[in-house]
Amino acid sequence: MTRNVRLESNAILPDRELRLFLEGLDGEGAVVNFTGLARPRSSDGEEVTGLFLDHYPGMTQTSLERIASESLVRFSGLKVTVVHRIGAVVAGEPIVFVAAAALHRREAFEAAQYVMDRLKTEAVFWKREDRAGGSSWIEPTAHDLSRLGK
Amino acid sequence: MIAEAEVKILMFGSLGEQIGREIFEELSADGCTIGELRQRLVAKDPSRQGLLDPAIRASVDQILVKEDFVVRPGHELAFFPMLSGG
Repeated sequence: MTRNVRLESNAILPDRELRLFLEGLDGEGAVVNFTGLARPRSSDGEEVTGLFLDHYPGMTQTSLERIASESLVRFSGLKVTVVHRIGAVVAGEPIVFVAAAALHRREAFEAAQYVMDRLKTEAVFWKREDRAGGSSWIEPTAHDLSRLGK
Repeated sequence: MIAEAEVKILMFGSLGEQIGREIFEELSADGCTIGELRQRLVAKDPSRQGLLDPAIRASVDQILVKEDFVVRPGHELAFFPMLSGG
């Protein structure tokens, strides 16, 4: 399978995901994998206890599949997997796992970067940061949006 | 007489937290535009004022639509704020 996309309501286990991905390879010479963690501090330095990822079933899955599919068009011979958490995520836990395999390392690195950049702004999620003093919903930064043009 | 049917309107993110995950509303077979629907929902319950924020987007059958899109019974309708991304 060249593309695997999954929404996960339980903990993501990056080592397990990587092993499964490697088992599905067929002659690729380079694998890049990325694990994003729920940060324990907000941008203003306040302690964050966790994140809540709200999603729109169907629409969210479609948004991830579109990004993965378009990465296959952009990078020839690519295999890609995207696993994304939904629901409550404790600070420090994985929130997303992306792996990209290609014949050579440059394509694998670039594909993983491409998928992550698009996930950061186009994936259909609404994230709430939970802190000891209250919660707040997160919107994309100008930096996230500017990376899309690269 | 125009038949009416109840439609479920979904809400996500901060909007869902503010005014609830679902609203049920009667729509005629002729339907109404997204813009009209926002006004109607807020007129019925002023606590739904957040629906009038222009940053709140609408989707029909999971596709983003503009304010003049006519929604009718049978459509899957949702309102939500700007995406946070993954």
